[in-house]
Amino acid sequence: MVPGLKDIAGIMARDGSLTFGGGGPTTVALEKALVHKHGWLPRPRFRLAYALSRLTPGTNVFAFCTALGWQMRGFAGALIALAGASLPCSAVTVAITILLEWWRDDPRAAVAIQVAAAVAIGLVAASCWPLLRPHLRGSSWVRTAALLAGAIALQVLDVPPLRVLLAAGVVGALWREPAP
Amino acid sequence: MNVVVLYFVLLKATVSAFSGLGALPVVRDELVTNRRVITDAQMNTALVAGRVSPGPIGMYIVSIGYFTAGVPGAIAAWLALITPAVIVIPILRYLGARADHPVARDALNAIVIASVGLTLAVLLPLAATSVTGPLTGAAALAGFAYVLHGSKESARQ
Repeated sequence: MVPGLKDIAGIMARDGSLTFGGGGPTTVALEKALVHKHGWLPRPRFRLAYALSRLTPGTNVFAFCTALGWQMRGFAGALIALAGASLPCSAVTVAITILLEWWRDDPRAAVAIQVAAAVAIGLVAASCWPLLRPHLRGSSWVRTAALLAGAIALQVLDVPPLRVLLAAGVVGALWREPAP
Repeated sequence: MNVVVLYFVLLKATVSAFSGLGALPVVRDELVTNRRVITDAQMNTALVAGRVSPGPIGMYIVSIGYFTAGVPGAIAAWLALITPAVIVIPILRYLGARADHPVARDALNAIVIASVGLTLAVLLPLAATSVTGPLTGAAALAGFAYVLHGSKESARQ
């Protein structure tokens, strides 16, 4: 089934733009809506968009939503998805910036902000799980653990993220995932 | 500050970064150190706004745009944030057609796994500054449980 542009805009505004916690929770929310609920994209195409958006400079989530829109409805879908995913959260960010300026010296606001930031940490940490889960079956976990540990180590050593991801791609092509 | 100049300054920062906070060093260097159009305090407030706002972590750029030139600055920042995203279309057109090959599929899966590693590596220092007591610990756990519950439900469907 092919979604309408309005449908894409609605899903992107709700799940792509107004999900808290950044890219991870947004990915989970979009997969739930586009793959599981509406069936507009098969899971491999969804994951392809995710992987390639990580190789795109700039904000990965916006590239991801653009790629999803492109796969569903071509160029118009890409533009609608990008606008839907970026406009609502931008407006909210400006509103929050204004509020933070007003509340700068209010200790209660400082506590609320600290709690919101902590919730965001939990959201991001948990959103890693659905991305890893398919690669932990059988003996695949060894390869997954090695790739994960390698990426963390390279990031700690200040290797640019793009190089880490390209290196992972090369390793992944050479060290194939065992068949389930 | 002229919003067109602001757009190109922020575009330079966003296009040279591959993660939410990756643009931060360029933004600070250009707007705080060189041009002195915002202060470090405003930069910190923008970072907080980016973290408590919905959407990507990189939304702090919009907040910085607002501090620099008001609403027109926020619009320039929004444009600088979304411009690089269209680069994914040629990448998708070229690599998408080859993605069904088993070797390409395994390479892409490895990129997904490595991207999780990068996220976790960035998350640890953020967690150290955000989760500082029982209240924030409980808040982080609540966020964790919320997403995990949602993903289990989604996997069942």
